[in-house]
Amino acid sequence: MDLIVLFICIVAGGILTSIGVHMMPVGGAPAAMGTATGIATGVTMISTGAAMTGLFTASTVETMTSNIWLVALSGAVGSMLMMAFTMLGGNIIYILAAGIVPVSGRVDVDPITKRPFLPFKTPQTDGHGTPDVSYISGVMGAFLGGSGGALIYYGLVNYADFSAPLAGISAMGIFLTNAVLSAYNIGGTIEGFHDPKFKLLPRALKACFIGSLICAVFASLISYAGGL
Amino acid sequence: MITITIAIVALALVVAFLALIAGTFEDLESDVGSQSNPNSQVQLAAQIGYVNRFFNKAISGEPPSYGVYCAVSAGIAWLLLNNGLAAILAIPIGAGVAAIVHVTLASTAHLGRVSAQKRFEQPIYMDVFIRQLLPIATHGFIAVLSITTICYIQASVMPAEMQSVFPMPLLGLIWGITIGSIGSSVGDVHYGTEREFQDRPFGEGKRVTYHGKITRYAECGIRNQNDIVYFCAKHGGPVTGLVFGSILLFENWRSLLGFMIGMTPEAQVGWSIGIGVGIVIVLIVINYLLVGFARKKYGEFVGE
Amino acid sequence: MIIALAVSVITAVATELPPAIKAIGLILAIAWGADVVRTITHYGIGTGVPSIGMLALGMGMVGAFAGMSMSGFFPTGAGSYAGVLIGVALVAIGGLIYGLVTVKIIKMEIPVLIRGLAELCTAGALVVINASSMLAGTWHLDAVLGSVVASGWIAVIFILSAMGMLHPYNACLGPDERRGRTLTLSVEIGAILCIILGINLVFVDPVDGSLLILVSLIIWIASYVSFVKACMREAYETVGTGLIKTLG
Repeated sequence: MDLIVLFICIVAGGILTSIGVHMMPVGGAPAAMGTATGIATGVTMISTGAAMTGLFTASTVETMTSNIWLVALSGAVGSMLMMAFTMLGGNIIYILAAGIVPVSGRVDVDPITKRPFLPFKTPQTDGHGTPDVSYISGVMGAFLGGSGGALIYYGLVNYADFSAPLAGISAMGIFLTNAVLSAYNIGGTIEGFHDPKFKLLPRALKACFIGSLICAVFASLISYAGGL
Repeated sequence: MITITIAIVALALVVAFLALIAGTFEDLESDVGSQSNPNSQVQLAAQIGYVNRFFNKAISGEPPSYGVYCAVSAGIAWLLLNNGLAAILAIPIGAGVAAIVHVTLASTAHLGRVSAQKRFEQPIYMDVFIRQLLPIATHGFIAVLSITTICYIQASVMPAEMQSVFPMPLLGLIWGITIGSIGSSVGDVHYGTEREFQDRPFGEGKRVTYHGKITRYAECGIRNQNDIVYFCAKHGGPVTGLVFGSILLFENWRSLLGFMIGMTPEAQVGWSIGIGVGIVIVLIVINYLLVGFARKKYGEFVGE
Repeated sequence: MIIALAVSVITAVATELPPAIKAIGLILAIAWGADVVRTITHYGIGTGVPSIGMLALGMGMVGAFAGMSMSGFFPTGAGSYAGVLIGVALVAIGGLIYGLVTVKIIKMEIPVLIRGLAELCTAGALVVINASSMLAGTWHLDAVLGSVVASGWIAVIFILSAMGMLHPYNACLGPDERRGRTLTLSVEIGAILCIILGINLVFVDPVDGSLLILVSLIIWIASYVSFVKACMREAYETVGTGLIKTLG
């Protein structure tokens, strides 16, 4: 029974990670020059950074309660906080230091707040800054990614009897493999759920399902053969 | 049940303050040696004939590199602490070892990148190479020292219930990756968007045709990384520090508040989750207002 | 590549060897990984070089733990030596499936990716196994859990060996990159990892630890000096100082 729950935890965590990575507004290197919309770093690393902040909180919460929802939600909220502050900090620099208005390059009107983008966009760029829709998308992505990381950690600790450090570093490894697979799917940059690339999500879900299944097999092997 | 004493609150504030210092110096270090995403322009500059005197320090993006320094520093410090050394000695020694690793990586990255640009006639300037290494090491040292101290507080100093379950090196890796991803996504925008293209029109995204055509001349003479760091210290660095500091501050604050309000452990965790969601909603509103301010103040795009 | 595989497998299997010899296996495994990273990212993968190194170590580390846990099946006899081989084979199969997934489902158009990911994950697992057995004296999971994982040093091994695989090609990126130079750099970072492991070991076992530090220090100095010299020799020009060439 524990084995089945472990598999469900790791696979669900991997799939949540994958959806979360697809919702991060990440512009990669061009975003650092205000040439692309989103955060100015790689999608793998920003989602890992967010998930690690969540994992830190989740690991403390895990010692207090064995309720799976509370652990997953604490991880998710930790990641949300990290992403929300990071995107706000990026926007402060864009707006107050470089005088740039955040707009999206892929859509003409903000799908949520209905603000028009086209008149504010610099020609020959793919948008700049993190506009409202990308901000909300990023927060939701961090929510999913953080709960994915926390879920993997919870599964490893409770159903595979890993010690906390082993579960922490293994959760990080499993998270990274899923995040990298998803990053390959979107080719490194995405603006959020309104981006046309978001429609490629099913491919990554299939890939991450198989990928996390391999990791789950390894984890159950460690638990069973290692006599934990 | 956890009782909140004044000591826990004080430690949480110290952690937030150290995070502020760490974030500031992390970003400034990535400006002293041109690292992370804006470095793609320095790399591109030589390829389109813009021979420059920038320090092309390509250490694989900031998150893994800061993961390395912080994990090594925390590992060494943890080792010395376990062998009876006092924290005040162990932590700086750890950060010192990390600084040596840092300088090794920085020097090899600069030399490797520049020597791979042979056909673009970009020479290795020895004075640029030598003169940047010490500022890189010192800025990195302060950032790593602060992170290691945060890890030490979270792993050993906090009262038992609030201690992290992870050992110090693992905490170093976690916070190193986190601070690296924050530093590269917040502070580097100032360097990449503004300082690298200062002779281009202000207040617009940098167009694709500008890419690689970086500002090579300083206020006086030819620009190198030392001319960049004092500029970014006025905005990019402090904002990075503010972001990392507020993340740790509010992360701890919501937990502490939840622990004070709740009666059972479940209720405590539930409260802290609810407060966290509340903070995030406030941040979304702040961002909405900030973007609205920019749209109203700066108006529509008027250039060509 | 085959030499690297053979040597690092031997040093991983034979747990009685002194750490200084295991260090050579570890450095060779890192160099092998760096070479594979160079081959794959040569085609351009869209997300930068670092991600593939993290993939290798993330997968390799979980697989390495699975390999080490084989000690539970084979506590004594020949199995206690060769058990780790099953783990390495498992990681290779896992990496192969990853490569198939990446090519068939995500449709990355890189011809060497399937083989490359299998090799990369294997190299990652071998690095973790070698480094753990240097610290713990054996790769049996219970010993490793006590001395490597519980003290958190697995984090140092994880990130520094990932760096050893991804940093060389990332640092030497450019049209005039040369394979020899890139691999020298990976040897150098492997030696740094060994030195830091030696600092840890010297508190437990002064003789083995100082021997390890000595050997890896020699390797580090030799590779660092040869890398710097090669760069200065092969760059367009190495000048003390100078103004930049202005465009007409």
